[in-house]
Amino acid sequence: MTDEKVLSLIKEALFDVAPSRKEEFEDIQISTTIEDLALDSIATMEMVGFLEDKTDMTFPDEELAKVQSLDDLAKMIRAAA
Amino acid sequence: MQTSYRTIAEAIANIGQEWPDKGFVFQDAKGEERRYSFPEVEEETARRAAGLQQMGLEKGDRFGLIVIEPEDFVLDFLAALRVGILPVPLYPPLSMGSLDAYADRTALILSTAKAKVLVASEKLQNVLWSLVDRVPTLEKLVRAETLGQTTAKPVYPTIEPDDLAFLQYTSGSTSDPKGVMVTHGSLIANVNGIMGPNGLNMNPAVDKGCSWLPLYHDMGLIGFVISPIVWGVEVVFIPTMRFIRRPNTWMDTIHRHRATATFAPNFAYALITRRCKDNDLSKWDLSCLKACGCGAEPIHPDTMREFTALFSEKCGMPENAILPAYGMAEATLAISLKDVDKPMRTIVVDAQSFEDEGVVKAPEGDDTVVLEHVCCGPAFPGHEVAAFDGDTRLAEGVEGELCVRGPSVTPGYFENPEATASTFRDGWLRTGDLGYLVDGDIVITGRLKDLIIFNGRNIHPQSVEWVAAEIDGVRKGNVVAFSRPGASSEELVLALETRAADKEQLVKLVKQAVQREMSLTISEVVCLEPGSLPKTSSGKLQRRKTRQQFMNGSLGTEGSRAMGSNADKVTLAKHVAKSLWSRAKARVLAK
Repeated sequence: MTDEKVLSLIKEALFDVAPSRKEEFEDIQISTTIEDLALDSIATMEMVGFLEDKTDMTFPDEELAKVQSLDDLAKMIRAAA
Repeated sequence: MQTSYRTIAEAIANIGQEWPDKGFVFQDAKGEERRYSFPEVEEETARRAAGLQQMGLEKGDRFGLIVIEPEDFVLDFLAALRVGILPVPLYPPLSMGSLDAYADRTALILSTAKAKVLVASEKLQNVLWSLVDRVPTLEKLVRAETLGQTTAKPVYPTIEPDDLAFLQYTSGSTSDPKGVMVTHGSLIANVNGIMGPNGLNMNPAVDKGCSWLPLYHDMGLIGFVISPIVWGVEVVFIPTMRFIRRPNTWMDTIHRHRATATFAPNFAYALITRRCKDNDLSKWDLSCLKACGCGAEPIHPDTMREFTALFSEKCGMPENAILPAYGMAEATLAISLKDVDKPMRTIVVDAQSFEDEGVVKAPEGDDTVVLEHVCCGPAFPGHEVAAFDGDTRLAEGVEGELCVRGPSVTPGYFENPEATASTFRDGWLRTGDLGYLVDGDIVITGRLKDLIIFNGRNIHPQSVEWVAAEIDGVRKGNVVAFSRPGASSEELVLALETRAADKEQLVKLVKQAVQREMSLTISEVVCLEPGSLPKTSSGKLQRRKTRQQFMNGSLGTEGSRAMGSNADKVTLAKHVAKSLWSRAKARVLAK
């Protein structure tokens, strides 16, 4: 999966969990950190749930915990794919 | 109908024989289900009870229970109750940043309980190892799933209704943890209230529970483990983390299993109403639901109505299913439930009379400012609830501190006579909640300590907070109202969390709304980053602490809850959501 594809998948997840912030999320980059997204923890986990559903995989807890940026998330999605 | 069992130990010993076709279903993180029939529950808990005794634990001894997986939690917990060993259920660690504070608090609770053993999930062993040295009485740390790996037979001591069953630590102050003593007798009395004809009126032949609630909290533990074991009701357990990742799992599981009863705090009903999609709704037939209990935090009538409207229309849920409940750990779990067959009842009162005099008066005229309160049903049979002003018992319709007495009430806090003495008065348990009675129904209006007195008018912070939370840009559930000393009277301050870019505009809108809805002037609005407001471990806003931080100038500067620096001050949901990231982080760092 290319960076572009992963990024658009993540955007889709973000639009889904926080539709009111769509405009903001249009600007995210692969280097954006999870912290920069400023999601609350429920929304963060909902985003993970959305990505898992779309990719039909389950991310192990210990892998998730290492994720700091969208780049890390992309790597994890690619590794699991 | 009442149970004939006198203790929980008796109920577990007989569950296999009495209800061989029923059982517990445990979902895992991926949704795979494993079912234990009640005969299997009986056998497995006997094995694990022997395992506890093999460790040298005897009747009356305490052990810490920090287990993430519902399957092991339930089996280890029930095993202990069969042989009179007392579990002390505790929540799992939160995040790296907060591990020190987590360890401090957990060590203090285990020391206070004089726990000999700590039983914990395998994943948590590395993190919890350090506690062994810090708790003088603690001899060993044991993996939760290994208790049943013994060929020994348990020795069953005599257990009487007055014997303790477990200790439930409340989120009181950090320095003085209070362990509610829960006895077999108080559990039986409470189960009769919850499951009996004046409660949920559960019939094992047709009823089934479904719960994603954390098991270290009384609502999940007593409501969905102990009550069903006594009554013989089948239950499906969803891991809390799975619900947080996919809120739809909740209704989906209810639909598939034809569950009839579930419980959750107010926020979860708001979350599911917001998150479910049309194509989910069209799949679900929720006509099976007869009780959607709501408790553990203030109940917002609009949330209840929105949930009911959506799920009744789209999924055939009975309109009377939503079921406000009142309770607290000191009363075992529940004090009252709305009648299952009746619609939710709310009381609309004239705001001015209520705030000035604490009396319920019907509003007159269309322009009157009103308050709406949710009724939580009458006290269980054999129990009594009354509002008091000091020693004076108040009439119906007059607000005071609610006090309760009856067989569900705890004998007190474990080895803490001072805390016990200050919580009881002449045989009544002082709840610390403000409320009134109307036709015997209990109505909760706020907390005693949080009252704001504004120009002589008693203001409940919740009502101001709810108005502010309606403004776009304000994070719902993350608004705190409190007072500060002013020139002639107290002044009203609002602290809220927001991501809004234009804070000035937001402040203006909030002030206008509170002025319009409540005729109240706010002196100051403090806008904070998400995660800044202090909360208790069960997700309740800490108004006093917020006020304290505001007064000493540290509000919003003590790091944010979302960053994990605020240890045990995260909401119930956030805290379970976070525990996944953090547990795993802790593991990674421990490697």
